[in-house]
Amino acid sequence: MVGPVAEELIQPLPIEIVVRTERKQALYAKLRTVSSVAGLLGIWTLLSMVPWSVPIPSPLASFHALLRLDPVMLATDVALSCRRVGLGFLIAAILAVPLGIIAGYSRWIRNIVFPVIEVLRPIPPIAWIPLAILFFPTSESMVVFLTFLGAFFPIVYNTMSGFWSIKPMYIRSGKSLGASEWRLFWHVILPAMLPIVFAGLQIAIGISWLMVVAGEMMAAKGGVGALTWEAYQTGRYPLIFVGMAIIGVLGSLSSLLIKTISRTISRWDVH
Amino acid sequence: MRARFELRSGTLVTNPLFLKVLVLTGAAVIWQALVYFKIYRFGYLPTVPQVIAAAVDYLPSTRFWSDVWSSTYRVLSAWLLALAAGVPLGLLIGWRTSARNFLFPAIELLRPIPPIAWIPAAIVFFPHVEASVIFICFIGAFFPIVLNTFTGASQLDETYFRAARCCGASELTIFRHVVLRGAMPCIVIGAAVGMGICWMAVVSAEMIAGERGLGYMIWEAYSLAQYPLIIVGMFVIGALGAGMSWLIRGFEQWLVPWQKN
Repeated sequence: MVGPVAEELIQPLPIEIVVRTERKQALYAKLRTVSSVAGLLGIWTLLSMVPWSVPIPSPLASFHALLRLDPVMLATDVALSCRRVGLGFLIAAILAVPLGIIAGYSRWIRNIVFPVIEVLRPIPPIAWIPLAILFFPTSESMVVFLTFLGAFFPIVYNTMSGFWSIKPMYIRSGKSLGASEWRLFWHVILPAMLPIVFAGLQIAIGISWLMVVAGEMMAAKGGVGALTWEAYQTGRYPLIFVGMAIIGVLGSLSSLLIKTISRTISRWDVH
Repeated sequence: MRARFELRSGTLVTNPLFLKVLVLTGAAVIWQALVYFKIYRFGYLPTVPQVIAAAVDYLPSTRFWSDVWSSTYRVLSAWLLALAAGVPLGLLIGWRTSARNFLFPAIELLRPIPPIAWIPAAIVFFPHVEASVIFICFIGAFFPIVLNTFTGASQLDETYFRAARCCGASELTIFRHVVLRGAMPCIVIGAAVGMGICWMAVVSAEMIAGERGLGYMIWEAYSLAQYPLIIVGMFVIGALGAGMSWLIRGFEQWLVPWQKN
């Protein structure tokens, strides 16, 4: 169908040109990324030069504050926060994933559990803090409860929507191939819903981090939230930014961890 | 099996109203029993009649309306600011690769910092409490809005752009009729998520720095040992948050009528 002229036009570019432009583009993208980060630091530096009522510490001052921190204390705080997030998140995952699956299967469970969940879900987990302080005997169990609470609802809802998003065709094909109920669950339903469950876990761990910071700022001893809060209370303002940066890094690392686990377990997920 | 999978298209909860009421009454009875018999530490919590009494006291009071108003005002103004800043930014970085390369890394650096972690900095560096609370809520709503808008704008089918260009559309027309319209379903999702986080942020900011508002109210109730009032406050916050998302869902039907849930 293609004439001789058009054929010439659709000839692929010589390989070295393609490689060169690709390299060039990769270089440009890297340059832009670097300038983006540099721009952010630049804006921060500019803000620190503006004479506010309380001057904002510059990036350099914050970096110095980080260097002056006792590394052992910092490591203890980080470990404490990670433990609180990890514990609450794991308990939430262990309870919420099965609950989501059971609620997907059974209309009865749904009818009994969901009116309560629907009433409680719109209440932001932060609003539970006063009640949690009242109820739990130690601040440690209180913070773990808060991280649990933050993670619980997103996991339940994503597990259920994962269950419902399975194409009925998969179920039918599994059944027509003679799969028992259990095999259908293990080989069809579970693999198909896993990517959405993991999306829920990803959201949940973010909220767990938010909750640990809130709990530590308001009521608990130790941890990166408390570090930030004490920096505020003692007037060591550069340390506030150090605390924020550490919280951000820890949050994105744990989100990366979930993503890696998700990629390893559900390799069939195209995203 | 078949019945289960037909439920997909239905609503999440299919039970009739009376069953809902029954279950919720049952939950209240269990709560009351736990508190009444002081099982584990439930004795520390207020009983159901105490909560109802506190609600009867608080809900008709002028304090209630001023609390609701200051929280709602903060949430709405922060949310509108976040929309005004986040939607254009998200569209820009979704539409133009160079803008994405320039702006996205900076956004990705700031995004993992939860709004709560901004509270001390906001209290210190903003002259007014009002401004710092609104700033914290803004941070909460901004990132989900930018990210969802960006996703919507970047996942548009290339054919739409080509079709628009074939019809002689200018870049501005393409922006308005292809990019904005195409990203609208995702913008609405981002707006809803942002509203949820805004409520969470306003409660925490008010608890720590608020001076007034519902978050401040429940923290004060805790400090003054008016424990039943805490639970009333929690339900009021929940109801307002749910009402807001309900409103956004209503807007969704009007903004993106071509999308079916």
